[in-house]
Amino acid sequence: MTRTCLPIVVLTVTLLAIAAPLAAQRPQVPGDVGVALDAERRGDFVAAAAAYQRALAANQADATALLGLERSLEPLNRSGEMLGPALAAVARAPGSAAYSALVRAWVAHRNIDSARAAVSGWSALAKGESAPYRELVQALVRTRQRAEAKRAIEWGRAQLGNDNAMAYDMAQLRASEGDWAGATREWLAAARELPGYRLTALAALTPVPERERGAVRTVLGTERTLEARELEAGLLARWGDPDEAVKVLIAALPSDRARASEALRGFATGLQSRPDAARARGAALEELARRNAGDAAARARVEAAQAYQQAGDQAGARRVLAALPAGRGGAAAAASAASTLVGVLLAEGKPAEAEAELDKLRDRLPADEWQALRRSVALGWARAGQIDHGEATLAGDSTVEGLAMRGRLAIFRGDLKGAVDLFRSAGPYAGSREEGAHRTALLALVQPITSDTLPALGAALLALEQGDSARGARALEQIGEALSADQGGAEVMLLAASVRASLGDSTDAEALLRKAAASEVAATAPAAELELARLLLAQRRSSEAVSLLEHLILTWPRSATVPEARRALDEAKGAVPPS
Amino acid sequence: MKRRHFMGTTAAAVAGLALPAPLRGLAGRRASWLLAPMDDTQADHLKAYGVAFRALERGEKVEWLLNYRSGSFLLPGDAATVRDAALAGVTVRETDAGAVTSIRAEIEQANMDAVPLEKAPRVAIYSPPNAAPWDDAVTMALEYAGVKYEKVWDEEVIQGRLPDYDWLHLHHEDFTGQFSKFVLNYAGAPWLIEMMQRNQDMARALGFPSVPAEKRAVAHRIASFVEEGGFLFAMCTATETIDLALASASTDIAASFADGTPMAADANARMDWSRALAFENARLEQSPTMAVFSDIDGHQVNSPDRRQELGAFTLFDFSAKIDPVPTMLVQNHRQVIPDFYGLTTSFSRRTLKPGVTVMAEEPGAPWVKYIRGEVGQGTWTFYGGHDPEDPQHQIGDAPTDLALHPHSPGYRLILNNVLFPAAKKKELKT
Repeated sequence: MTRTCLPIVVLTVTLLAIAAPLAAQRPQVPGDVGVALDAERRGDFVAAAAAYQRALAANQADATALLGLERSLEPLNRSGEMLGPALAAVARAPGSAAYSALVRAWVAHRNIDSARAAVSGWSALAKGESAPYRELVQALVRTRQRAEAKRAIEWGRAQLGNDNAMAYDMAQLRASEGDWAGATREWLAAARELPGYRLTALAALTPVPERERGAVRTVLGTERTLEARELEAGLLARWGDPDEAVKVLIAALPSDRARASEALRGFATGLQSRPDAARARGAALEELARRNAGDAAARARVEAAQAYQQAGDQAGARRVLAALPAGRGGAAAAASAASTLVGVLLAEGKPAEAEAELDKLRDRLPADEWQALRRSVALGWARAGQIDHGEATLAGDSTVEGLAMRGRLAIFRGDLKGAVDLFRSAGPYAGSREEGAHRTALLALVQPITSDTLPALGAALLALEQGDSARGARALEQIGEALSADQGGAEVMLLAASVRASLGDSTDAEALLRKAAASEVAATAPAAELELARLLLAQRRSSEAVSLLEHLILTWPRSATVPEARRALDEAKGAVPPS
Repeated sequence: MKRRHFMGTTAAAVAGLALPAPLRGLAGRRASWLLAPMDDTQADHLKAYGVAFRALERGEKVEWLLNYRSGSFLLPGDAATVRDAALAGVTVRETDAGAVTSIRAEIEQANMDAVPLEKAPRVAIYSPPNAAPWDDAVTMALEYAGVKYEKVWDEEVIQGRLPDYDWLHLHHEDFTGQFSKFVLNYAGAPWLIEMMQRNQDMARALGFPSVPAEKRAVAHRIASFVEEGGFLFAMCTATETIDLALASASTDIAASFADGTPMAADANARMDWSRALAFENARLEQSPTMAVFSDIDGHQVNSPDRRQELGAFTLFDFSAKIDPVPTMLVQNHRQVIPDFYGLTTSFSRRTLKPGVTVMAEEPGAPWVKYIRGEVGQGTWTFYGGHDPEDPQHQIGDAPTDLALHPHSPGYRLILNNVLFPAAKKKELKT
């Protein structure tokens, strides 16, 4: 060694002296198992397997090494090597770890008889437990030996004297074969053993094909328990019949208030994100309120009223609110009830009463919530034909949402220029996404019209707002005919066609769309052709639709509708699976 | 515009007699050629094949520019092709005679070639009558690209109708007649019951004692079709099982659930591999419960002990001027493509016959992905895997929507095969 190397050696020795105690402070698994775990963590399964094998050579009963070896051999496709270590482990220290490894090893070797013998040995130690049988079943399922797995379940059930054992596993096997009725029977059994399985069953049975649903309901009907009805109601709701679902559930509720409330609350919660099931949710909550008293009942009533209102069932909402005792449920519930009532009154076309109710709420609602209701009242006045009153209601509302609402009222008045200015001032992000899209559509409708005012168009749009679609469509058609195509006529015609189509009047809709499509107005004609093609496709007039879509793509290649048209064309030709 | 005028314009456009306004100028000038680039500038690679195919159907001449911008097409500049490309959303560029000359010069100096395509091939897909179009990658590709095809099944094959076609694709059929060996694991499943019933009825109707016997006869007819000049393309399990069926003429390789008798004990020894198209010396899978047929498949997806993970496969680079056929079959804008499972995913190198051309492999792996060969006057191509855009494909998976994969390199390989029979035959050096 030269003299220059000496400092390096000294430094190395010093560092090692410092590092050794630090390393000793880390928790360490001693010997080969520690080496193996480290290698396994690094993904070096070859080294891990070798280290585990060394550990097992020293102690065949080392369960950590045995299971580690199994984990390491699997990614190496060497699971077949597990048989020897597993047999040795069982011979030295028969326990659940050793037996489970042996069962899996025999299954990997396709030796089912030996796997069963291992299960028998294990179950002698764990009398009455399903774990040994389940291990066999799961190993068979993992290796896709489904028929053998079913036989193993039947064998386990016979040995355990329990027909419901391993129902969870059997249910999944039956479902994988398309035997949905059989799967349902097993899920019921599983839920009997462990109620927590009901939610799993609900998720597992949701994909049942429509043609099999009757058989599933028949099986569910054989069990006269609330749990079965809850499952049935949950499935019906997910299969698109929430109203029938809530009837099934309510008819099966027990007199036990706590259990009934739990079932109703669970059902209602499950429908919370389903606008299409709002009425059923309202019914469940109304029943919940009926079965409870005091504040709990009051809160359920308010929720029920909101659900009914969301479903458009104003009578239901009123009925529930009428049964709400004053002062119950606390201030928040009272405010919610009152704001719900405002919505109900507006939906019933009673803006004066709604305004009066809202005035009472001024100090009880957050300012932005109160103002949003105020804008709804303004729209309610406009719907009632009192646009002036609506505009007066908006006085003092300087929000962008307020500007947007003023724009809507200006359109109803026929003040197109004023509406466009207000919409522009409000910007694209005022209010909800739907409101933004609605505003954009209105802008697209009125911008090509050169006249600053067009009261007839305002009246037509107001008729639509009032729900009088037929009158609105007639008026729009007349306006569309009167205006020249490139000055808004085509766009108004397109809107009239959409209204006709929504009324189910496809003949008139088609005629109007053809007029709009023939306009050659760049912004309107392709949209009209696309809508017309969709209308024709819905009527199974595919060849006509294909012609139109081709015309659209070729004539308006830069239109934003072209990607949609290509998709529709592919679907019409069967080139892609239907959306 | 008056309604009458509008209707007239539409009708004319539909008939291909007139082009709508934005395209009229182009038709008036009539570009000499349209170049459909097949590199990353192409908006829809898959539909480009359909545009070329339909041009051939109209009697036009198309050139396939091998290795030029990832296998571009030189299409006629007529109004019908302009219209077709516009409808399909396929990127085409007007190309005049000068530009074409320049392209040809570039092709001349590089590993490229221009192959004339002359006649749209008559395409048949061997597929059971009840098969949905969404169950087979080739059918999906043809539907999406708009390539016309007819469906044939056992009856048509046995009746000798294959010579009516130039190109035959095999749906993922099990030609060993063992119903893809799903019988024990999916016992009772309605789709399996229907599949078995349909096959058993067909075997009976055609006078065969069992489905394996009938499928073997079908396999021999298909092999004869190739020998007599047909083009065969197979994917997934059809690749492996057609060779197993051909090689097992003098032994029983089917499990008892298929023909009432178990596989012959000496089946491996009695396989006659000289009859097979691509493989030799494979070992048969003995277990009737395992949906594996032999060790031809490198990935063994249904064998828990032998299953291999998916990697990526690499396309070979052939000499376009010397080996135009494999060059055509590997035209792509990607050279490395993610692998995808099928009942047969890949082909073990060990089992390939010496004359087989490997066109794609997973480097370093003992298997290859995409192979071809010639028999008699015909040619066959085998492509492992089920669906290039559904790598883990499981029974019951939602169908693949190719509109979401218009640039799929895996599907391009399928469509290369469809156009390949259209190439003008010239003496091949391989």
